[in-house]
Amino acid sequence: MAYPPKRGVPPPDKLKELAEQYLKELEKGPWPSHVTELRKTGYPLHVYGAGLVVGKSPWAPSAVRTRYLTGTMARIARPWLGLPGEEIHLRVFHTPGRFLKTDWFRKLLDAIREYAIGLLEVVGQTGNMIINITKKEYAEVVADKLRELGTDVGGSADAIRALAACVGPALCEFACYDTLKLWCDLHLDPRVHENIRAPNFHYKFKPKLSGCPFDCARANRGDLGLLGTWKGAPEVDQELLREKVKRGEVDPRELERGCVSGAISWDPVRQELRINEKRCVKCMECIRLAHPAIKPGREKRIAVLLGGNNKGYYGVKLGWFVGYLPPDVSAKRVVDMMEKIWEVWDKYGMPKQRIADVIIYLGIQRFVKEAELDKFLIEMPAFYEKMPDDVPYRILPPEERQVYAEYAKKVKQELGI
Amino acid sequence: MPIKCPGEYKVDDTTVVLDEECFMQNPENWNEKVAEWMAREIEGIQQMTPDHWKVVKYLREYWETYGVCPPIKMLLKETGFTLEQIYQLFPSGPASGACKIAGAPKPTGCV
Repeated sequence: MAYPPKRGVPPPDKLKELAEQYLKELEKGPWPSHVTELRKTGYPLHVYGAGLVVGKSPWAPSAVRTRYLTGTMARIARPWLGLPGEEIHLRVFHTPGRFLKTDWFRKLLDAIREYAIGLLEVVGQTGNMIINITKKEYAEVVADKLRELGTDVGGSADAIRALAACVGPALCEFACYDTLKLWCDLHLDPRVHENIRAPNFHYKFKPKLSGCPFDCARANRGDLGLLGTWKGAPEVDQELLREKVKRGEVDPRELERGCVSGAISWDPVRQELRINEKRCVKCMECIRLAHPAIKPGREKRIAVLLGGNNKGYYGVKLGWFVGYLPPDVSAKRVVDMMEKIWEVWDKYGMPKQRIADVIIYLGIQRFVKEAELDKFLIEMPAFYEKMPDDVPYRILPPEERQVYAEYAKKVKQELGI
Repeated sequence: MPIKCPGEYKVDDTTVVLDEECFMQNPENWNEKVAEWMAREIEGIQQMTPDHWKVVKYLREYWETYGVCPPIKMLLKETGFTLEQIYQLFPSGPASGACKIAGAPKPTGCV
């Protein structure tokens, strides 16, 4: 996109005129128009319009010089466009659950009013609050003002990105642990803070905290997902469920059909719901249909998922489940674990490789062993050793082989072979 | 005498040519005396401590080997300092502070 279009670019005056025509076209009609809204702000609309005219992106990447090396991004108009224009945005730390105090928000707006263009993204894909400012020189000034308010700029480039937490116990009855508290504790840890502001990794690292298996914060897709869950079957209040069934709010047959692993059975004689805890995969379907008669189990814990990503060297991946943490886990333990993971990632990874890419060629067993995750996690599953790529079979770990051998011996004895 | 950039100066029989941002244009003439002079006159660092020298020598060695300044990640990893500590040592930052004193030309990369 860096080259000018083949059909040529009109001279600047003509281009500006044409751009205005294109923008006016976008304002016609009875529906809301983004151009009308952007005209109220200081956004460089003429560059956007010029891009529409030439049929190419008018923006080029640029850089902002600030004290810390992440969280600032700049775009300038391409030189061949002939029209000057720049748009700088800062990624500002958000609060967990996107809760903002009114007086604090007013202070923030007062602080940036002078320098901003009048656009503020409070809910977006990055998870940060995004402030657009008019000139590159103001970046450091605005960042200093934000630091006075108790927040900071950061979370871009090869660093820890914005921590994502679902709204958790603040609004949701399903939350299995306090995601918001853990988010705050993690953010206040100096080791996390240092790595948010300086690009210390090969590529981005995204920790995500979800309260329950509904996974609103998409922990399954984060490099380190902490997903609240429980042990055994969901808790069933039979009395309340019977009432709900009588009122017609819950159809027990639907509960049976909805259970993906077939763990639920309804006893029509005794009017009781039974859940086989060994078969339950905690998909939350029954809880969704019959809450509060069916609730998450009493013994809560946090499942740790490692290495999910969307953009990586080997493509899109979901996280590997590596073990559990207690629900009241301290932030220090999580950050200690993160540091171990970073060490292995740093040792074996190459630039632009995420953790999952390292896991793919090391094998999850070796990764977990080198990162010493068994020091931090409980109830880890069995990991299988990665075989060379030309070996089309897999070797079970010795303990598991022993179990199968004993079972075979028992079957042989029973059959008398 | 305040330093004006660009300009040409003599430090103990060594000629130092500075460009408009006070980076050395003849990096082959760099020596420790020049580094001390640049730290004092341009960056306002009165006394170079062993910590300063650790960063500067690492940058110089890297520049002499590869011809570019290292990425910030390598600098932090090899010297063991955090970004905060680098800023305490060199108030104008790793690129325009430390690289300047190490005698490397203006960095184009991510430092």
